Amino acid sequence: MTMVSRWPKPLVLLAALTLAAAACGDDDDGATTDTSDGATTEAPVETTADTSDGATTEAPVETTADTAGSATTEASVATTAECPDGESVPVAVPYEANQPAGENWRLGLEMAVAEINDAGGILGCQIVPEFQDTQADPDVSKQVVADMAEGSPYVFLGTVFSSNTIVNMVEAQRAEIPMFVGAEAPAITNREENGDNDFIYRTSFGVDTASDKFISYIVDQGVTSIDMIYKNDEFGAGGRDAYAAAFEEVGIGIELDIQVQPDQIDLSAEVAQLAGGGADAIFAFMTEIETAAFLDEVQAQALEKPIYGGDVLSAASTIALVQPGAADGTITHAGLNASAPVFADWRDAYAAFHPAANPPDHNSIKGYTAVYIVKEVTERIGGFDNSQFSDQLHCATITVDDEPGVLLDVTYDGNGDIDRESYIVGVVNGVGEIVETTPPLDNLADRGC
Amino acid sequence: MPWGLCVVAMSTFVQISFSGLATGAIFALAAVGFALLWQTAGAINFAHGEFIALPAVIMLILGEHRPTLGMPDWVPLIGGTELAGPLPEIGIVAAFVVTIPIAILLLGFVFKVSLVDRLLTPGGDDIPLVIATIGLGLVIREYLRLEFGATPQQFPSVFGTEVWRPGRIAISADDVGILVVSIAVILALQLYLRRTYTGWQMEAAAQSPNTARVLGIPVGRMILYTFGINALLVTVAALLVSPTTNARWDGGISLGLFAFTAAIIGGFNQVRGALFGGFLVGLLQNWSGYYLSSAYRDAIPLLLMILVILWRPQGLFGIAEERTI
Repeated sequence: MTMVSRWPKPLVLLAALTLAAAACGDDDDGATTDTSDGATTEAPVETTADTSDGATTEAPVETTADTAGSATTEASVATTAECPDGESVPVAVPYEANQPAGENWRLGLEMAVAEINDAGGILGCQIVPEFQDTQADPDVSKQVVADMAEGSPYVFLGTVFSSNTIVNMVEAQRAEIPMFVGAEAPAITNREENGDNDFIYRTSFGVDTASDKFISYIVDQGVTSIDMIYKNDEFGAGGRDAYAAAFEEVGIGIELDIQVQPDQIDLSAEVAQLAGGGADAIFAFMTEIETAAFLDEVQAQALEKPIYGGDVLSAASTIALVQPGAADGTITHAGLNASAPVFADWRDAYAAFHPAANPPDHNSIKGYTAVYIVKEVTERIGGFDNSQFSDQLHCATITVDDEPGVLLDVTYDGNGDIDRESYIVGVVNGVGEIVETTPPLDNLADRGC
Repeated sequence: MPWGLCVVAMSTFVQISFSGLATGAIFALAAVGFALLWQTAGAINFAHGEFIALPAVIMLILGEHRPTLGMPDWVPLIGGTELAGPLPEIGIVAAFVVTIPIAILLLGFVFKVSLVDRLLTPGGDDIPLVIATIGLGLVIREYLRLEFGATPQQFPSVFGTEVWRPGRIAISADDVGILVVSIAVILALQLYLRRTYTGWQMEAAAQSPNTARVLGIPVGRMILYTFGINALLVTVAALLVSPTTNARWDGGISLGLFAFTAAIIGGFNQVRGALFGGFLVGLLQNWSGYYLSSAYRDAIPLLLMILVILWRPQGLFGIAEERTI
């Protein structure tokens, strides 16, 4: 059956032109805007704020919000501003859809976006994320970010892989768009190596920061020599270099230095080498797949040495992959450990939001908090002027009181790296348990502030 | 060399050789599949690795990880923890048994009828099928990723996590189990091919299809049986390798590559050649990983493959074939 329009063509054309004109016009006309969940927000009256496209907007003075959102965002819709794109704010999410880290990043991010949008959005603007798969390929990720930058998103949220981020962050920098990443390689926020990048922000510790916090614990355990095993990519090699330097600084000698190829699943030869080594302990720095294979092989060869490592070693996403008991006894510094009691409520909310997903891990938390950090900074700016992120976020602190969605108090240094409380986590009976809480480094003066 | 050091060196050699043989056994299972399809149907399947990844996911759907994989309620929880009680490995074994006919149907019958029969004509070119199977592998990978997510799923070991320590060597139950089951399956296959009437018919169909037809052997059905056996072998390989690799959307890539490498090294047209190639690749990986560097563990078998192609194209155990142009 064919539907025939009874509307005369001139009328349709007129209607279309009217709609187009309305879309192009200013929104600061005092209109009341219904958000998608029925939240009603009275429009702004005065004050000025630069929007991301350079327009000057009357900023909000009086706003009422009747949100149905979560408790965490109850007080979040304090103001409204002109949205960058009609009633919404576009954010670009380049991520590794084919990797657990990327997938968990997206799941956490989606949850935060839904919560914020349900509560009325950021300054009354609904967040509209555009997801693009980078295929965990550095070249593809660079092209994806370059293409997305053409659409002038408010911010980039991603990527997670260091090998991708190190390549694609240049495109965000070129477009002068802030980029929040889950990547941890030291070079990403090192101004000597990243071209003095003012637009890059981490959502967790860089490896060099983490090593500063973890090393004293390892020394306290009486370790004087260590064997290192790491993944041969930007993430693994960057982590290995950062920790090797830290070990050298405190006088821990490195005996074996073994690299593992990406996606290598048979590590029997490498574990046999470690078993024959004479060091006091082992330090492992790999991503989930290789770490799981490593731990399974350690169990298979009954290797009994203390094993320390980066976030991934004792992450829930790794424990979920290993054979029963294989991760027990491992100890790691966890900047964000989803098993920590402080995240208990959040974990429940995550499980309710993503009932079919695996338990959340540190990448889920990174993705989640990234959105809330953007929200808080935007509200501090008072509008969608992403050129002010550097002024607002570098050397600044966001507390949970400021914005409950950041989950933990976080301080940014002058390079986009973070400082906060963190944990030493040990795995007992397949569950990560906090062994020790490490305080913030509180050394911002040495870190560009 | 002092006696003590000699003992340590020998123990380590035995240790890594045993692990290499266990990994090689899985390569061998997969490589034998390559050889069988080539011998009987003249087909090369570059989706072979994905043929191993797919049954692993099916087993998890039927067994342990249904909620994580987000399957609908109508999918029966065969062998799941509710039925298996305190022994989850019983669950995965039950799931394996149910997966076998599914794999034979999908990876045997449907694959042959829908792709191989259409693209592989007698005397025709192999290239269309090669390209099609590369595409099929890609489709299976992306399907698994989109449908079940990128996150690998833990796959329970059938043999448990026990470790025995004879002297300085640690031998895991998993490695022993993999080796024993693989050898048993390969021996059973050899017995089937050599000692049963159907096996003889399959051999005849593989060696000379035209003569076999003249003798009244149903060549088409024999080829179909081969595809079924291949499906069975990849399902066994999936059960054995997945506790190590986890069930992953991209888990078949390297497995398929090294099974293919093994088949080339051993001899693509001889089951025993593929078998030998599988074990050799597993051993070479571990020896080069230990005695040289992990950086060379994949390179050494590939280098050997190049040398074999250059100096003995039919493989170490293969038989030279001639083709009239």
